[in-house]
Amino acid sequence: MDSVPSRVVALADADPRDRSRIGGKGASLATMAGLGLPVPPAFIATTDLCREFLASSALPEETWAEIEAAVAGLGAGTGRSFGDAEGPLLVSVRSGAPVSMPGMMDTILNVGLTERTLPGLVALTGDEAFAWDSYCRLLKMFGETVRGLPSPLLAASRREAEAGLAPEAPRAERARAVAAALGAAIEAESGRPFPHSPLEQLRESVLAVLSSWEAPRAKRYRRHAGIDDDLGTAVIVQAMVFGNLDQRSGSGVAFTRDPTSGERTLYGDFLAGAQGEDVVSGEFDVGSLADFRAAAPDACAGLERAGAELERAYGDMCDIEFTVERGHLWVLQARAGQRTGIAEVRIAAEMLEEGAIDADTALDRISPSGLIRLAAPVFDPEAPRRVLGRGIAASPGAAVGVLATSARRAEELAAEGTAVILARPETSPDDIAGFIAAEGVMTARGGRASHAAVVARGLNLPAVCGVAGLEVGEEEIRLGDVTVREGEAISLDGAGGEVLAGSVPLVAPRLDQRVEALLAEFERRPRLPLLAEGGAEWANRALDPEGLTICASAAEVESAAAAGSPRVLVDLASGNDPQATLKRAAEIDPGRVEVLVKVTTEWPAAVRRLPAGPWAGIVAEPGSVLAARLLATSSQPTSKEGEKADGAEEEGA
Amino acid sequence: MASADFEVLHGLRIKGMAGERELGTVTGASEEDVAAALRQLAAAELVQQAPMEEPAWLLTPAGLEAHGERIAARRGEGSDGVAAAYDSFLELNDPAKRLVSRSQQAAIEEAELLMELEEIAERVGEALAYAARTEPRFGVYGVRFDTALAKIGEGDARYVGDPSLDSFHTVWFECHEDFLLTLGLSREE
Repeated sequence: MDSVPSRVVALADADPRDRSRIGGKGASLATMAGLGLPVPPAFIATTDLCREFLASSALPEETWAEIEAAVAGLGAGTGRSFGDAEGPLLVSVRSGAPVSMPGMMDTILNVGLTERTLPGLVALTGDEAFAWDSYCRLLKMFGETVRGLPSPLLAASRREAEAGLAPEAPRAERARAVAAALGAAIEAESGRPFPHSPLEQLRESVLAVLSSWEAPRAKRYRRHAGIDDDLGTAVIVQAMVFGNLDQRSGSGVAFTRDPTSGERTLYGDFLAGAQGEDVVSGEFDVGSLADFRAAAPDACAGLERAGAELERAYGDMCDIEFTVERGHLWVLQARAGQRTGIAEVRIAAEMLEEGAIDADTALDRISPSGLIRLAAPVFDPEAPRRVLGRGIAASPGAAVGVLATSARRAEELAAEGTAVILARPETSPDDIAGFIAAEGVMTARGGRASHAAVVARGLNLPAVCGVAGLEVGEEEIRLGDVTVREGEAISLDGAGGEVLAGSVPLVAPRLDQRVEALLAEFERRPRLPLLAEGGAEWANRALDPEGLTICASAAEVESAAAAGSPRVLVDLASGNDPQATLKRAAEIDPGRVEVLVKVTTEWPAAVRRLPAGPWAGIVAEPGSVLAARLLATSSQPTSKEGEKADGAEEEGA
Repeated sequence: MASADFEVLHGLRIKGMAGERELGTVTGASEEDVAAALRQLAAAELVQQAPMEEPAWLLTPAGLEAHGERIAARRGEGSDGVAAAYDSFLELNDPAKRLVSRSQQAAIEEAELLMELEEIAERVGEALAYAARTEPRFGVYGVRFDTALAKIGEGDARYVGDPSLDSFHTVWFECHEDFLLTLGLSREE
């Protein structure tokens, strides 16, 4: 048997490069373990095992024996072991394919908790209600994910159980009643009882994760993404850790740089005495990492070191999920972190300067939307600003307008050509028309993922959500002792999350020199190829007059495209509304019509081909400083009038 | 005859202002039924035409009040099924909104986004089917999700979060509002 590689690998023995066997998530855990970071003990059932399972639709006994042995070894050194009544070790079971495969629900937590091991968890945590809640969570996930029961069925049985209790019944009693109801529902609906043996729970959970590889949705995704059906998924079984044991415990999410501004600082949320799911649930007021430093200074220092290690390993800003158990730090997951458009540019520029990444990588990481945001007008830093209120920076940008407190009023004012700032207590679908009419929005309630924030970002609208103390009346708003009436001027800083008094003047932004350096790299690349330069006669000659239509307005672009003209030259210098012309030109299918842009105001003109894809957006963005710069800067040696060598090559390419 | 009266009234309560075609989409009723319902509601002065370029309708103050009374009256007749469905909906609410946020920040690949949206739609479909046993109109949201997903599948990414289209987020947002109105809850609860 020695020649057969083991189907089950302990995390400590896993090689991060062995991605095809241990999967992406497994490789990420192995990377962290390899960096010496404190990762909870885990083992990985490899994709070999999955393929074996897929071939026979069963788990051979000797394979199962390997898993049993691995789970028995997980608790070594912790004083807990799987299935032990006194010190039960609970595990999570999750899938992890070698390539990124969506499937957020393929996780079962708290496996190993039974009515026999539950008292051990009570003793360990000192929290009977938590132990029963954990059991309910296992029952629910097991019922839905392993037995495939519809979620509302279990929700209905939970409601029924709770309805039978007195409103003042303690939490532990409620959870106990819910657990009994969920157990009964699972048995009634799936025809088999919930397993009261920890090993049986584990076996069914592992089989469910393996089977999920063959789910119709997963198959469809693989077909779509061109992923081999034989790849298989790894199964990760990992010890659960507890952030709710005492006040030196807690859970959090940290970013190695601020994901909103891009600033180089460890940034994140922390909730003392809580499990990870509490941090993201929105049910609790989550604190900052300062709370973490106060609760567990050593663990916080450990997190800072871990952050630095991870940035080096990933070469990118990372987000890190962590739990602290009685002052001991556990790093649960790390990956390249999500960030706003502005942060994206700043992080790329700073990491380039730090030498952490090269120019190509930095350029790959920035998108037009980030650049457009960065080039958008900002409040004049010299102008006095009076902050009326603060909230969550839900959608960046600076907006100035007159106040409206209803969608209807916002629409009326906008119809008169007035810039409007809409204030709402919270947002419902009937506010959308008002959003579309407004320059910026603020709400009294709601966070970064609230509907209002999603809608505002969808419209590229500056928004401040959850403004503390904001009262929205019929025709005015109150912020502290200040009242602003409808029709009066007000300003919003969507990036800083501030509501400002009056009309704060807007100016073009001054770009940070590191961002300038990054843009200089950008301008060095031939992303906007210069076709040629020359006079008007030259343009007629050189640019194949047969198929070329020179357009000075959006309407002309429209009719040229409709008439089937293969090439359009947009003359930005003539016509009344060059931005509208360009914007319409950017919408043309580049496969059908080649769009050229005459950049300079006079002849001889620089003519560039409008880039296809999202980069067209940046060129067409009205008033964009970057658009002007990107269009105007030469990226290649220019050819003189009459010489069309460059242009001809470009066209052939 | 099955009247679309209440559905049209309810659709206008959720959307604020809507044209006849939109009302057809949100109620699942035929063009004729929507038009007939609007005629009846207008005669009762519960709805009025909005002074817009494109013909659109909105509730009158009396219409808003009538809607409040009618939905409260329906609430009596066993909304337990809707309540359990709402529990399931709420579990998906954060993942769904986070997913739309990620796509807005271009932080997710197209194929992955589509699969995650399909997974959420499938799960919310279970909840909607359950709610539809009590309030059949919840079934219409399932159709609207499928339509938005089909558009995204054809490569039209605007159908993820564009507020001016019947995008995945628009349907989600209105479905959320419908649960709140049906159960008599506020957004905070």
